[in-house]
Formats: sequence, C-alpha cells, structure tokens
Amino acid sequence: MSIEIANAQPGVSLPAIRFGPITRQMLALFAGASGDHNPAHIDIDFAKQAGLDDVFVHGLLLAAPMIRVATDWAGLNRLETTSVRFLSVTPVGAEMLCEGRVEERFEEDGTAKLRISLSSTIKDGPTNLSGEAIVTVA
Amino acid sequence: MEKRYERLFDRTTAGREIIAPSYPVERGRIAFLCSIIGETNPIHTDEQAARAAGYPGIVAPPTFAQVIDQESTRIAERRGEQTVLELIGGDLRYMLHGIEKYIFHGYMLAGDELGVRQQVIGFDEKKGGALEMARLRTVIESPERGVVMKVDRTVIHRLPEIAQ
Repeated sequence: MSIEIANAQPGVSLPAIRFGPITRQMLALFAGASGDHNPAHIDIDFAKQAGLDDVFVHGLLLAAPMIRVATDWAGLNRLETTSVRFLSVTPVGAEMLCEGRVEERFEEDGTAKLRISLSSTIKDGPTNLSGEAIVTVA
Repeated sequence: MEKRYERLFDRTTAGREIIAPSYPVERGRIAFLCSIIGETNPIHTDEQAARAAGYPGIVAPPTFAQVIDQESTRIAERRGEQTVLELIGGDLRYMLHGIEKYIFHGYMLAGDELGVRQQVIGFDEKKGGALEMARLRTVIESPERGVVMKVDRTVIHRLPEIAQ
C-alpha cells in the first residue's frame, strides 16, 4: 500500500466503498453510538410533526464510509485533514457508493502530500456528500 | 419590497471560547461506533494490531470526534453549564449542518481523558440574510500529547422571514 501511495499521481482512483442499504435499525444504533440523539433521524412521529415525510440519515453516519475511502487506502496515520460537505438529505434505505480520486500531489513544509477528492452518491440518486482529504505520502 | 429576516445568532459571541467537559475515551464506545459505520480496521478494536501499526494502544476512527463533542455537550447540559450552541443562540428548528472539517494533529487513544474547548470563530450570512452561518471550532486535547484534533464546522440557520 505504501508503494501505491509513494507513486500516486493525479487521476488515480482509490478503491470505492459501498455502504448500506441504511436501515432504521442502523439509524437507531448510530444515534446511540455517535451520541447524536436528534429525533429527526430516529423518531418518525417527530419527523412528521416537523413537516418531513420520514426520518433522514445522520450526516456523520454518511461521512464515515466516505472518509474511510481515504483511510483504508492511506492509513489513519497519514491523514492530515478531511472535510465533508452535505449536499442533499439522505433517505432511509439509501445505498451509497463512496469514491475518491487523487487530484493533486504537492509539497508542504518539506513533506510530499496528496489532495484527494471524495464523493458519495446514492444508488439511482444524487450525490449526497462531497469532501476532501489531505494525506502525507511518507 | 426587500425581504427581511430575523437574525438568531448572537454575533457578539465571536471570539469566545468555552472550556467544555473533558471526555474519557473508552474501548467499548470506539468498538460500538466502528460496528455501525462499517469500520473493520483492527487498530480500532485490537490492542496488538494497534501496537503493530505504531500506536500505543487502540485508537479511535476520525468521526469519533463527533462522539466526543456530543457527549461533552451532554455532560455540560447535565451540569447546567452553557453549551456553545446555547451561547451563540442556535435554534434547532432552523438549523442545518454546513461543512465539517477535521484537522488531525495526533490520535485519540482508548484510555485518554481528552479536554474539549469550543470556540466561536465568526459569523457570516448569505442570500440577502436568508441564511446565517456560525463558524465553530472544537479543539480536542490530550493532557500528555497536546492538541490531537480540531473540528471546524459551520452551523446554518434558515431564517424566518419578518412579515411586513
């Protein structure tokens, strides 16, 4: 894996990760695991009272597999920064494809680094998250 | 007639910092989070695997920073201490998440008691005031190793229009 990173150039695609379909059980368990108890994600009565059709998925549940595209490939220890932007609401049942691509190789403070673009797309649906990761090469 | 919006964030809080309750990082909580998000890397559940990867022990995955933030806030609420969302005037009825950025300076280790500081960086608005944004930063710190992570996030209000 480190040889792959050492030689990685712009255009290289990282191995994709599939996540889901996201079930109501996963939302309930993620609420407990993450500490985000917002009822909009787990209580359909609350969601309907708030004018929604249904509960929707926590942003950070979706962010995790997208970030994992970068850490599975580069290793947690090489991850310097990662950012996530939430583009659309994700419904229960969504299956996601999380992808990453090396966009740039650059040097900062004497260290070679890669800028990786990340995205997550709902199967037969829109791109729900976008993001970026900066990893060190060494 | 131009639309006007009722501002909710208290913009005088820019530059403020709250020392939030510290959070004890536990193996079980790390394992629970990993099981739901599909993270199977053994450095998050197995001491030997973590050491083989160069860490002193089991480490948390990146989004564990949310657990620290949420639980520190819950402890603050239980103690009757002001949370950062209360400080800035956050209103859950109108609130959306914007960008979330994680900056890593080190690792979060099972067994750590991590300090949490909540900072109000500043405020912006968009769409003629229909959206107002608060830029917040959570600094997560190990007493032994220094700052391990920073989380920069933008919290957005979709503001109610003032009836004219």
